[in-house]
Amino acid sequence: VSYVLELRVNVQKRFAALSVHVQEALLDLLDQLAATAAPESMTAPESVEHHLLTYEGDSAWYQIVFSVRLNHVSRKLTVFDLWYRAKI
Amino acid sequence: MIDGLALLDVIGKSTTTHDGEPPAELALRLANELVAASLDEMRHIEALDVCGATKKSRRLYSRETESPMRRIYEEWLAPAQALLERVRKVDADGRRIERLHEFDLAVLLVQTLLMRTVDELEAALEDALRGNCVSIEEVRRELRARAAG
Repeated sequence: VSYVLELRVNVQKRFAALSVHVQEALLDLLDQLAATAAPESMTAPESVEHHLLTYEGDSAWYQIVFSVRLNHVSRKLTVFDLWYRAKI
Repeated sequence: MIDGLALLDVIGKSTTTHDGEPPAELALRLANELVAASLDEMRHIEALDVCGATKKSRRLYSRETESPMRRIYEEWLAPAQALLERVRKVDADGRRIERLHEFDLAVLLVQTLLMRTVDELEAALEDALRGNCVSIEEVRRELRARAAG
């Protein structure tokens, strides 16, 4: 069962500032996370994870870290923070 | 982290061979060793940081362990940045630093990790829990429009 994905508004704004290729790579990763999300244990209704994406394009590299909250009851994955450094 | 810059300085200024090895070759070998040592240390630090059943949490972002974990990263980062600056010049001079790109990425990663604090993450989570969120469909729509435009 795939989890429903949502982004905090503030995260969406940072996301929109990234180049299209980086956004696409990030969306692919989020889709993958949503498709494979599962509770770590049956007693934990929610969990928080921090993920990393390294993106290397022709002229820039990005190190992106984002934090997600997984609600295993409502099966919702919320990206609540995203930040990055780029080397251009 | 091994602070080997002083050693590199001495070797770099040397005009005599060291056990038959010309100073320029020795300095390059030492620079590569220092980069490898720093990357090894970073691997261990990363292993200290990641936690949880799926290793997707970080002690850096846990209130109880944030401070010591931050200090560990900062103590790695300062000499690593100095070394990176030095070996970039060596590489730019045509003497190849084997793992320069990997080292560059490691420094960039630590800089990125240190950008957030537990306080900031908790505030961000609270904001999300108040419902200030957009669906992924909306994000995709915007991306498609941008890609098409």
